[in-house]
Amino acid sequence: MWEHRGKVAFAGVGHAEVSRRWDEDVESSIGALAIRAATRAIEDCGLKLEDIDGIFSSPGPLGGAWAPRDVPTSITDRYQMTPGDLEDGVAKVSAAWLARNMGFSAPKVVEDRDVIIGTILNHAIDAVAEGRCDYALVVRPLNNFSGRYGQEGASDGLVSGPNQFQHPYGFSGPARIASLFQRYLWKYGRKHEELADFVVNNRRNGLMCEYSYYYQNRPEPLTREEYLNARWVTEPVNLYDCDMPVHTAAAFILTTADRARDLKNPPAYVLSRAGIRHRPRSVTASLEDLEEANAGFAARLYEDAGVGPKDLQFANLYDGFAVVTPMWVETFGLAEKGEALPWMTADRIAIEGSFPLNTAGGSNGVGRTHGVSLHYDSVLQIQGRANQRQVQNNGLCIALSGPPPDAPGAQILSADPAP
Amino acid sequence: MPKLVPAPDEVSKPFWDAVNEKRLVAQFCLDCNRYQHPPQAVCARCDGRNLEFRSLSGKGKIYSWQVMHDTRVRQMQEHQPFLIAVVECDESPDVWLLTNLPGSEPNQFEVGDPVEVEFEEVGPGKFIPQFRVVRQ
Repeated sequence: MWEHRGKVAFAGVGHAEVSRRWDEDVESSIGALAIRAATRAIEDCGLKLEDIDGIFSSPGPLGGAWAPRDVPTSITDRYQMTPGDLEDGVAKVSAAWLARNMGFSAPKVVEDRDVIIGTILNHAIDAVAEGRCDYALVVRPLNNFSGRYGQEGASDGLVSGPNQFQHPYGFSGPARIASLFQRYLWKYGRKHEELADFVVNNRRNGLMCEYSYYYQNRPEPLTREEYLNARWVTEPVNLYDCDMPVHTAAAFILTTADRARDLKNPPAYVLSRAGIRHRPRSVTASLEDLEEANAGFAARLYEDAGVGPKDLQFANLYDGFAVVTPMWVETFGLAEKGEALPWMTADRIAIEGSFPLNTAGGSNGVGRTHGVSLHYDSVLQIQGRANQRQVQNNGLCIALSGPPPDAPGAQILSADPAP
Repeated sequence: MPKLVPAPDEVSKPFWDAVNEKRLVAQFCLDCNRYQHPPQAVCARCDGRNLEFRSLSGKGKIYSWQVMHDTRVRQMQEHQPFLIAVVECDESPDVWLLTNLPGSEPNQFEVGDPVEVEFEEVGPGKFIPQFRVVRQ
């Protein structure tokens, strides 16, 4: 078991409003949203600004750089910008930018890591566990600008770096995920359409979630027919398998279990945390390699927590590409290899089902927050603060962000520090 | 719009030089006796620096495939939808190459089907490897 099992806890969370893209107003700049999310998280715990002594950010940018456009003077007039980096506060938000502009006096830890939310949460958990800070604020800014998201292919028609082996074939974006999923479907004799219950349920959960893009802007359910008739992005990955890029920011507060017990919300105790970093076998990742490596990752997470798959009551497993969730369901032992798709049926995975899965709809039902909602809703569920989507058995869960071939980060969270 | 042309770097140059002569090669580590692709400055497994390029037969099999309808790569958007397959070379499970499977339509082939290399000219004298399904 992990020596710090149950000794660190999530105390509170905060989210900024979610829009499709930045409208270039200073009030909705990514810096303003990050400050709003952080302020809300601090207030959510009943803490004051001066209590926070650790600031962590995964700064971005995510939806592409702002340069070469000029930064609006409405932003440079209001904020103390970062010398030599005018994108800070506009296309990304560093921990130092946040510390400066929120007026933190002397935080002990100010740390940036360009990693998925689950992994930067793990860094903050370790900082609290090891006593490097008492109250850690973790911020995830998620910018999305006008124009098409993530277009590639230089105008000079040349391609260098790792892309020289991929882009000449049009292999980009979800292609590496489609390659894994096609292999999965072939290996286990499954069909894409078996994902329908999961994706439809993600939208349903998202429409019960106050910090979802769909709840705030587009309160429309997704029908099974719409899902099955959606256009392919790259077959076997369709439009609704991909989360929608959004513009928002979210924040988390972590502290020691003892301190958390004196704050406003019930603590969501961290029983274990783990991450893994994969190196693709060749030009892209191999399903067989990932199955083997991720089995070790899951074993570590469970052993450190002193619990097993049968102890979990619900799970929030990354679904930015919904086709990867069945692989995670199997990795963490919720279903046998190749059996996740028939396991992910509406009656089981719904909020009122026997094993709720992705309780806020994940990235699929909230928007492309790069996995934020998987951790954010795990905290709210454990704390019993998930309102209309509250699950009944909310004692123990797993929260994981990141697709299998990258560097995912996960925690096992519990309402009881020593179950 | 013309297709993308690979811009080799110091490490990848021998691979593309060979491709431009319509030969397929892959990097081989003499320290741990394994292939690796894409080529790198050192062996990703053992950090060995005794790397050489070895000729491949150009034969392999399909590991996975997809039908791309919405690529981010501007130069390929006018060709949509198009096939992309991952090919595992017969010499090593560690050497995978991509291809658009010229001459094939979806559902005329399956994972595991044998393929053979050919070379597509994407710029004057500049080629990329492609693979064609071998009809048995």
